Amino acid sequence: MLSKTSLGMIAARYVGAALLGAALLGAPAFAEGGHDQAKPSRLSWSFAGFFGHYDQGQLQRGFKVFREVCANCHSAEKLAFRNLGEPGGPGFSEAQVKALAEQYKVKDGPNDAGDMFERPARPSDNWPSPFANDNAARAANGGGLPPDMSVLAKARSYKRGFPWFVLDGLPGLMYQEHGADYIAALLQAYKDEPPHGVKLDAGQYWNDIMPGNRIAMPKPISDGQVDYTDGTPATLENYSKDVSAFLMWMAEPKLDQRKKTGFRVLVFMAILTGLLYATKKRVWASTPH
Amino acid sequence: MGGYSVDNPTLNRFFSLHYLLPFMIAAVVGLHVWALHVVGQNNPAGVDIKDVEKDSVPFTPHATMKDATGIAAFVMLYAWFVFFIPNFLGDADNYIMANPLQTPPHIVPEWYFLPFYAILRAIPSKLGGVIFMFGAIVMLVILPWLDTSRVRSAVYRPIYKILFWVFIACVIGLGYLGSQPPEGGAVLAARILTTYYFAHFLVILPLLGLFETPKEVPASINDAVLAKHAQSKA
Repeated sequence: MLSKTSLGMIAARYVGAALLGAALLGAPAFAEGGHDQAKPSRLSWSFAGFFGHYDQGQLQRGFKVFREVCANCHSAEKLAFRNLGEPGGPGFSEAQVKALAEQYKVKDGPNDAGDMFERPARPSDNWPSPFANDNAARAANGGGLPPDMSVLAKARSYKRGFPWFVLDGLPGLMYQEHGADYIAALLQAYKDEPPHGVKLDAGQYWNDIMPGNRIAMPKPISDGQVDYTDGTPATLENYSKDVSAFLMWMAEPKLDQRKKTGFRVLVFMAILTGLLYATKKRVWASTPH
Repeated sequence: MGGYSVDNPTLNRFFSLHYLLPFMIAAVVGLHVWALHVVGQNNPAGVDIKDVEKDSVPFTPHATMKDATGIAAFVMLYAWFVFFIPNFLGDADNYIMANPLQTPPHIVPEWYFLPFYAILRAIPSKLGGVIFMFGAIVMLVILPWLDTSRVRSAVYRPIYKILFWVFIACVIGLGYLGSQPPEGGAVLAARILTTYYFAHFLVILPLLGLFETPKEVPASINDAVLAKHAQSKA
């Protein structure tokens, strides 16, 4: 689960080695062995950019995919049912959230007799994990531990290398959706057969995006697996995008508010800076400097 | 360290140091205010005040308004990072639950440590690396004795002015190399830049002061300002 960096490092190594190798040694250092990881392509997200905000319909579809597919193996310990009704999120009503929570059982207790018991979940409860503990999760998944999805979209990324990583921070060029792009690309990067001459161990699958190309998660989703009720085509591409958007929301549920507040702060500071600059100019006008 | 290896006692000791540092910094702030009142502000000309009436202006409103403008402009930059690119300087690995039994494949420190991390890795010896890494900061402490030039301001030192920016480029280069895996050309480049980093302080600065011919330094701050005005009007 920590292998995210190796993808980035391989990409960065190529750029770094090429730059430095060419500059200092006079020979490019492209001698690294192994298979190349494909780079995730940059998708257009409603929550990207200066005025970005989540697309409610997309979050609801993504939640459906998460609930019916991902949540069978992945936990999301930091997600509470009530979060699903909060502004800026999938926008379920209070009654919908309550009805949804009641479909799940959570462990509570101890009761008067000192016993733990199960009861239907309430909106204040966190999302119940599919396995009792990490060992149970490993045992049920061929030794691999499905990572918790609470902040997964921020815990995954890929390196763009110099100079892109600098440009990615600039107004207008801003690109901060590496994690969502990575997850969306990974879900679509499964190959039925590994490349010629590569032998996969038991419980390994070939994925073009996964660092090292070997992934313990079997292809989780295919065309038509989840029913969309809003007319969106039920394709793997749409599933991947929608669930990535949902995971991004789960990792950063206050993104809408963050960007809105940021806009107000910048406008305020721009006016204040302008006024201060004018004052400064006037104060210094009579003094040669 | 409280044991044979880095462990909880080591961390506890570092935490106690860590909480102490802000108080030490507060004391240095006190020293700074004292120095400001006794020695006075520095200035771009690097010339001491000869005549308070002619050479200086009142702190308020002049310095106050100028600083306030600078702070407001910086807060805008800061707000950009906070509200729009909060993860720009961080690493995605920081969102993975900490696990003492599993080290990430590549350890990358916070960005402001990267140049010193590059120096640490450039030295092919563990202790040597640590010594040079901290030595890189100690250079700033002994800087006043390394600079042999009679002229204080870089404005009147044409060669030093260029070498200053070369040094800045060197530190940025080290920072970039600190974020890369130490392999192939990166190791060699880090060693060259580390050598230059120390050469800048230990060789270039002492020698440059002796060999460089500085431009003529104005007699007073007032003269420097008036000369600049005459130049901009011409």
